[in-house]
Amino acid sequence: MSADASSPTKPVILIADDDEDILHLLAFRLERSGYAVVSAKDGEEALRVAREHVPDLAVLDVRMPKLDGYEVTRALRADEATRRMPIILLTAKVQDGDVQRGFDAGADDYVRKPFSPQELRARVQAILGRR
Amino acid sequence: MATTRLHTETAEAGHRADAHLWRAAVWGAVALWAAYMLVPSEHTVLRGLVLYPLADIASVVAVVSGVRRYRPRAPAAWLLIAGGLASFAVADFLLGILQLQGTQGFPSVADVFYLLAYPLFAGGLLVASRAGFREGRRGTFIDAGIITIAATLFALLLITSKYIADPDLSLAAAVVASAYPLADVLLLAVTAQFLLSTSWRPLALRLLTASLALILVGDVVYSVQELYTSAGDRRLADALLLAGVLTLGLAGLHPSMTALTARTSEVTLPRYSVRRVVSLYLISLVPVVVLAIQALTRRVDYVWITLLAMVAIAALVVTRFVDLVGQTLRAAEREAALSRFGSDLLFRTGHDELVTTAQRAVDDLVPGGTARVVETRPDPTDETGLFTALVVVNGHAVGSVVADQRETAEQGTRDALVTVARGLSLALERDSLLEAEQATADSLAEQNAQLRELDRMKDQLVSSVSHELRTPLTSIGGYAEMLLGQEFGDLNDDQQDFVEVIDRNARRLNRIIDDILFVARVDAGRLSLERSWVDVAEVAAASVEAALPRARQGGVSVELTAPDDLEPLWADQTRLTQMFDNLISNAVKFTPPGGTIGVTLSGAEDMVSAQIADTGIGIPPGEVDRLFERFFRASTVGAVDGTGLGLSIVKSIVEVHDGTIAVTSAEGVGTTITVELPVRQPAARPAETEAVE
Repeated sequence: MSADASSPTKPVILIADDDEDILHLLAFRLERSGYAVVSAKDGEEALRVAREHVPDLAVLDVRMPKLDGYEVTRALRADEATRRMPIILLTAKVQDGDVQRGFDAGADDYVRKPFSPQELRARVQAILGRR
Repeated sequence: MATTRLHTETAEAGHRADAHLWRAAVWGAVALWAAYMLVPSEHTVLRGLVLYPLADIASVVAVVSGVRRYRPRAPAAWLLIAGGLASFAVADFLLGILQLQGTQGFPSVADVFYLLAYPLFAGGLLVASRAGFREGRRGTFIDAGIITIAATLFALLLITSKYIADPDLSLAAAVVASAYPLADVLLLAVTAQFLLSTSWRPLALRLLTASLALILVGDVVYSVQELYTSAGDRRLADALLLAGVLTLGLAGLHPSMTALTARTSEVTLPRYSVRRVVSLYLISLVPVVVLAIQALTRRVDYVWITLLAMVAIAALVVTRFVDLVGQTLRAAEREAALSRFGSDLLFRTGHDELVTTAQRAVDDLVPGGTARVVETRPDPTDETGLFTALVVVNGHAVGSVVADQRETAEQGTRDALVTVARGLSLALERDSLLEAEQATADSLAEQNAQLRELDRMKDQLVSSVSHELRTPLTSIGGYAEMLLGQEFGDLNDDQQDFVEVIDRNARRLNRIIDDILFVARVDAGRLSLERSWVDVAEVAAASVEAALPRARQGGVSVELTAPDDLEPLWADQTRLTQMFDNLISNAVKFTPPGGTIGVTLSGAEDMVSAQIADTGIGIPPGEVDRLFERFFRASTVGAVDGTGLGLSIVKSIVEVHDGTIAVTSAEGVGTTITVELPVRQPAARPAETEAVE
């Protein structure tokens, strides 16, 4: 799953979620907002795509097969090439330890499910705009 | 049943037969006695050879029949008495023959049989006394001793001395004549000892006593008449002796004759009565009286013997006193041992320890270690002379306290051992009840743990299902939002409406999931607070603001009144927002168009109170109490949507903030909910974030 990743002018965003509908939703929204999107359906694929494309930002679902969002985040942080990549976690659980766990793993922000596509876009813009 | 009734009938018939027999014997005895008395003295053959021996033999037969019929313990006692009567019969018969031959002399062979009867009677009573294991035998011996000394003194002075002093009598005659009063004294001593150690209540024993008294009195009368009056007239003495013999036979034939040899525990023991003490005192005065008489009559032949009797009586009295003091001391020791045992039992638990405690008490009560607490039931047929007291738990004999009969001669000791057995019974029963209770508690605890685990699994299920629902909700809401954004083409009016319905319901579903998760978290005790100083007016204003669109839509006005100097609250801002949102949106939901909702904040002392008053549909009086129950919805809500969780969530939030919530409502008029929250951080809650149980 990749779309227009070749364009040098557009920031590239990695989206990873095992739910294809959500993947589509995110892809539509972000591409409409002027980003290039690469996507993955599980944790391992997300890691592979991230290493291959070195995107400008990653949106990772916490619950994914093979490797979960926290593990992918830690792996990305451990890799020199992706160490500084901004990461937004998508989580269905927002309670007690969950958010803290995400930040401990190295995430920059989290978005709680169910989220509005507009809200996510706003977060993405906020992080990328900071740079 | 039939067998039992048969037994009872047989027994009743037996009792009737016994009664008939005895009544017949009484009439027979009276007839014999009257016949003897009515026959003139000239008919010596009829009187001496027929009537008198006949009365003797009838009595022997009566006693032997009694033994065969009623089978007393230790039958030797009654058989010896029967032997004495038989000896009388032989003597009377011999005397009759001698009289007929006109060769009667004194002493004669008849006297040998007369004198033989007394030791036989005495022997019978001694056997009875032994068979009964009678209590306080030492005491009764002493009491009997005092009586005997007095009687001996009388016999010596009144009768024996006369024979010895009589120059006309041969040595043999003097010895035999003296032997009678001494035989009487022997019988008197044994009778006294026996009577003092048992109960007189059974008729057979009263008759036995009466008969022995008649015989003794008859002997005395005989001797006195012989010595002090003109010889020949022996009718009174004969009447007394005959009556004695007949009464003795009747005693042996009465059904209560078994009481003679019954164990003490089977008969009611006499108390140490005032009458008995007074009698003994009077009897012990006999030597003094005798001395006084000697002094007055100036006959001082027996001063030394009398003095000796006085000394002996004094010694017996002192011994008796020492015994009584000893008994009192032993009673005190027993009481102390029982009291120790009683308090020990209170603090001991466990079968073995209780048995050990009881054994210690038993050792205190019966020194020498012959008494034991055993955990076997005693053999009911055991006749080895063991004293036993049963230990009964839950209606079953589980053991007994056993002791040697000789070591438990005192009633007090036996009572104390019974008390120990009962105390142990109660303690063991208490222990078994406690054990059962503990078992119940354990099983309840186990069930409780299982229920907790199930509850935890339920919470887990609710939590994970709710989380799972959020991903599809993201898609529903997200795609609806994109359609509504019209980035992918315009929607016509109907399409626009429909997608809005989808979007609204996705949001609503999300709120329900949030509520369910909140409740699950409260149940699991995992509701955490992130406290900070919160401006309540600000939070309330934000909630009012959020409710305005819907309020406007429903034609309802919302007004917030808050003083400027309201104190900040040490609270979780998110939770307070949730609380106000719930309360205000609830009020908006249930207030018909044209109504008003007043949100009033006020501060007093250390509390901040918030009042949300609406002019809504109200709650029926009977339902106000249930308002904060989960999933409860008042019957007046009609078609207004909702899960029935909102107010229960509000209540949980108020409670974790240590506040209170109250409702007043009138159906069709409106509802006012008042929340009061403490301003300051409670001293016992130092942490900013805390789990709430």
